[in-house]
Amino acid sequence: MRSEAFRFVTGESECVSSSCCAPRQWAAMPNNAAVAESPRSWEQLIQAIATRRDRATFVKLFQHFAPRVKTFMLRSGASESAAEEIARQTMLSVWREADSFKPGAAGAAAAWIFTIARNLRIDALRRERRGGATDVASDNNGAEPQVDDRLTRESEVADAQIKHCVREAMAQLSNEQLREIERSFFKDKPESEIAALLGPRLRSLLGHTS
Amino acid sequence: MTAQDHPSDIELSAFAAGTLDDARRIAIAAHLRGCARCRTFVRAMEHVGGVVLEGLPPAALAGGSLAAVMARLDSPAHSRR
Repeated sequence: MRSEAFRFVTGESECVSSSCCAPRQWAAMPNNAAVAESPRSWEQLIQAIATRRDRATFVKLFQHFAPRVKTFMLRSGASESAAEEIARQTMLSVWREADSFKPGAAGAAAAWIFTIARNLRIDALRRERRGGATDVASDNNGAEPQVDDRLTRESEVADAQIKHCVREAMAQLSNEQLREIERSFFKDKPESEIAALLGPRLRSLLGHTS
Repeated sequence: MTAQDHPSDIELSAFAAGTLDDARRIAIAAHLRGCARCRTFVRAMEHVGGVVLEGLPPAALAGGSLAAVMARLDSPAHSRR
């Protein structure tokens, strides 16, 4: 299994301020040609889409994230065609909803895109269970009442600080534990392992002592 | 709100990962609307999802994938109903 996803986390445990995370995160990411070409963060690119409807910028985001969303969906059990369609739909949503992305959310681009893809997957699975269209392409309107995922963007802790706590918590895990978290996201019930490995650490870092 | 009212870390993690059934998802969403502390935990777990997503190897997209999406950028979100 790959572990490079987490090297930047473990390698930056000295990071003590949320403001220092975003620029260094992308510089340290391997496997990331789009970033190597550009010093701008994904967050800045999303804002460029929101303010200028910049198609060239969208292409950069698409080329980086669409193939990774597809991998996520394939590993989650989606068919080739469903994974492809969710990847496309996710990027369409990035374009259409870019103006709802909070400019202050440093380091939050991947989390935002993750939530978009996650919600599209929930919708697709619901349609399958209903015995309706199994192909996302034939019904991509999200006509079902959606749980408003935006609510989790409003919390008592600034998003950049939450991100920082996540990086700190993950930095404390062994490489094997990090790989376990990556694997667990693609199981039927990933939450037990994720919560066990990260819950207490995150609670502590977030100041949630009870 | 008392501590017993909060969903467990496991349930909040499942909400973030998108693996809850509809009934539980809606119930937890209702709780989240009124609970900043649980929102923060879910948001943290969504960042974990973002880290995982970011680290995945890219899959090969179908031919014409980018062009197909570019062609739809200016169409209204609900035009395919």
